[in-house]
Amino acid sequence: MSKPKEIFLPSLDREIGAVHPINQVKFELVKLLTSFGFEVAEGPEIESEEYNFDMLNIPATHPAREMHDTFYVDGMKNVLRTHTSPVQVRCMLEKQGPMAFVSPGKVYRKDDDATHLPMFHQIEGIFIDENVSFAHLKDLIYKICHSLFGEEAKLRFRPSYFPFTEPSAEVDVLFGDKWLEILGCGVVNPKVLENCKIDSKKYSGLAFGLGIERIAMLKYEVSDIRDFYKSNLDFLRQFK
Amino acid sequence: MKIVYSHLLNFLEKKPSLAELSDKLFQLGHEHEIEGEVMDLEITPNRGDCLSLKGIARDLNHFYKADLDTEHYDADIPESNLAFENKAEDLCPNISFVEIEIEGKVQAYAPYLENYFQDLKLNKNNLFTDISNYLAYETGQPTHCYDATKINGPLVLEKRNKQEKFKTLLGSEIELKGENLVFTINDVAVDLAGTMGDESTSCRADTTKVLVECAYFKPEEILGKARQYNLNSEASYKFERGVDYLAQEQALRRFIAIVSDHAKIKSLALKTEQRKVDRTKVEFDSDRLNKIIGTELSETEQKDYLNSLYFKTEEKVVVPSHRSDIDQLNDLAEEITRMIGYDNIASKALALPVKAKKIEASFEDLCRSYLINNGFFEVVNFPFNDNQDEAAISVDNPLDKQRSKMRVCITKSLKENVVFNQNRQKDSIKFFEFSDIYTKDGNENKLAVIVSGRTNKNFKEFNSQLDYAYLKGLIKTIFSEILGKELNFELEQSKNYDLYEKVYCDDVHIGRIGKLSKEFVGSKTKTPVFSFEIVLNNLQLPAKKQSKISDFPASYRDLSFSLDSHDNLGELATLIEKHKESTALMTDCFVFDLFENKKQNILKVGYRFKFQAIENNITDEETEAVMNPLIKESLEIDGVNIEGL
Repeated sequence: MSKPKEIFLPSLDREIGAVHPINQVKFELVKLLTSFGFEVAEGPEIESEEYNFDMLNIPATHPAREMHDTFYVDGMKNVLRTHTSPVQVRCMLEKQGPMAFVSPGKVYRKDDDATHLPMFHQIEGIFIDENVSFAHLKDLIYKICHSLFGEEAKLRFRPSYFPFTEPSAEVDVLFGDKWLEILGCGVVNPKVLENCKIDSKKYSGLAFGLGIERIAMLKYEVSDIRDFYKSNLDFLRQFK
Repeated sequence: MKIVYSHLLNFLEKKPSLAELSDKLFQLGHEHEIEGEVMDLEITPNRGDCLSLKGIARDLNHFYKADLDTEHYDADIPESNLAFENKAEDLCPNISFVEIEIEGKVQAYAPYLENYFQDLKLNKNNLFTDISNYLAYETGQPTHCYDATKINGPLVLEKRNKQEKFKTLLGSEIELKGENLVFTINDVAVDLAGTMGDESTSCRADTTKVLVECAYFKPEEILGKARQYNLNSEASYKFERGVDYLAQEQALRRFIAIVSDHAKIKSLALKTEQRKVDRTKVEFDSDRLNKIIGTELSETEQKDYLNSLYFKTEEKVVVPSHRSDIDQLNDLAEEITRMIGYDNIASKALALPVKAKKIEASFEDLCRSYLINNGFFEVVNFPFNDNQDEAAISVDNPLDKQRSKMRVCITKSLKENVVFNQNRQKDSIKFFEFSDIYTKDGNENKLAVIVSGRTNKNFKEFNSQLDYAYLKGLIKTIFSEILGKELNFELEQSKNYDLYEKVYCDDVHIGRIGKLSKEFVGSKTKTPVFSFEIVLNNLQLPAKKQSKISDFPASYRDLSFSLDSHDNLGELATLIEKHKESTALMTDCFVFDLFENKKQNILKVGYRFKFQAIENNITDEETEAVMNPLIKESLEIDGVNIEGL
């Protein structure tokens, strides 16, 4: 008996598309952090200097506020936010008590070369409660990094400097024989809490921030950050 | 900042190996790279005190016992009669000058000075400038050397707003603009304070009488000046980050000692002004320190760590004058944590008291999934371009003119994405982007979709082109299937479109759909490009409600309409929609066939109507009661006929 012709006909293949790799990583991080108990908060990309700098203890003399680091708009009245921390300021001003928020989104720095882009993505988190310490922060960071890079991932905490946290740390993860910087974190500077009308004698806070492009480059082994923004179909097809 | 390992060891009692030292510097937060014996340290901006050998040694004191004793000129120095007027005491509260005159031949450089130039591959200049550079390397305190014989008038420090030419000691000519803190002689700027001196008063190889200035400038006064005038200044780098405000005279006494190692000093004179003398004090709270770090250290242990960093732990903690970054308890906590080592602090389990919340799917989420499943790729574009739209927000300090405005729409970015891919022989392109768009009128959350080329790559759809009907069907389907809303369209004209319709939802104008003009696309390929862009603000997903479904059989009616022109299609569709909405019995209707023969001017459209009742079998009478008026009214439209009637 001859076989039915249908089985010899070509199938009607239809290609599916893909979420942008940066958004894929962003969504994964949001999913992870909300599973820990963080709520998601979003805010505007055009911010006042007050929210982007002053409230975060970044003084007018800080180099980050110079014209070569920050994009200014509206006749120097506002800035394109240089980090998503202003969203946390808004959260703190709205909610005084214990809170846990993450804020993912686009941020801007006046930079454009092989390793820096004028726009990139961050996800930052803040947790405010009574008696939270640097030791608690380490636990949280271990959980995040182990979820991202596996339980065996080795971490290194280094002192760093962020005006909005004190103590401040940068965290490296060991890949092969190389330590790669993954995130910044710290105990929220009491000056920031007070700026946001939170009683710094009663509450303390933990904060962390990850560069999403950085994580995406490691996860997908992308060597040139600029590839994410060329919209090349051959590149995007690899992230189905 | 580059330092040499062996130079640093000169200031440490214990002599760690390079590898051990490297580990310890990482622990303290001084990231670095090593090449041979040279360590290139990336000092964080708050640690200006570490921009020197002694500064690093101080930070390592807890581990290797710093030996900071260097030879200083301790004898009394006569008061200088230098004519100096400080008109900016608040910006420069502490300043010292020493006049040194030498005689005889300058000796070969002492090993410590010679090694500084050799090991760091630096060029020598003249004795005084070389000592000044070395002193900054050793102590972190910049000094400026004037050839004393070239100072022909009172020296004045003032902040002034004067446009004037200034030739630096390195020979570059700049024009001072706006407000600058400058040293002047006879109203001529001879030194851009804290940044760089001028050529006319600089030292040369034959200089034998020098006036050395050593100051504490408020960091904010120096900040950005070197960059503003495109000057490479080690001094300003240090002043911007803060120098020890009490070290000026001591630094000059060290300067004299180094000079005396190399030449016979003929005369000396010193002038010192010191207004900022109060030390910062921080309330000590052992319990609170432990709570910040998460440790159970004793008060003694905490004070030991702080003492090792030159803090005085009295009733209050007295901050050393080189630590401009310390003014609160959390700063002290960081110092203690650094000494312990961040990696040596044991983690404490953290339980977030906030319950995890389920993230509800949004319209954007569902829309994204739908588009992905239909072969679309998401792109993310930068928001900058050079559009001329009046609503566009200007970037005050753009990267370049081509990126001087915030984009007012996404479509232009997507169009460029299409052209990029068409230029790479891609013949089926489906892109979308979600983005917030900021204009002078406010911000909107938007979705834009663009298509061009083949519908799909299979044997049935390869020759079918993505077109206006495809895109219109896409946007209509998204709204009807995800939001349960029908869209309306209104034909308009726009310079960037060959075909353009406004899109309305609930009578609100939410966007546009169109065929982009070839001029606007600017592609080498002729394949047409179609796009829509809509505002997503205020679009909420409907609450899901279950409706009763029918178990009774459905009945179908098909009608084949013959039309004179395409103009009739819209009127016919509106009529059919009106009748569908007027009865619950017609549960569906759609175009199942469209035939067009342009040569013979034939246009036929086949509609299928579905009827079904909830409570009973639908009867022919019930169906005809709906269909007959629909047929009658459709035939009243000019140019519409129904075949077979």
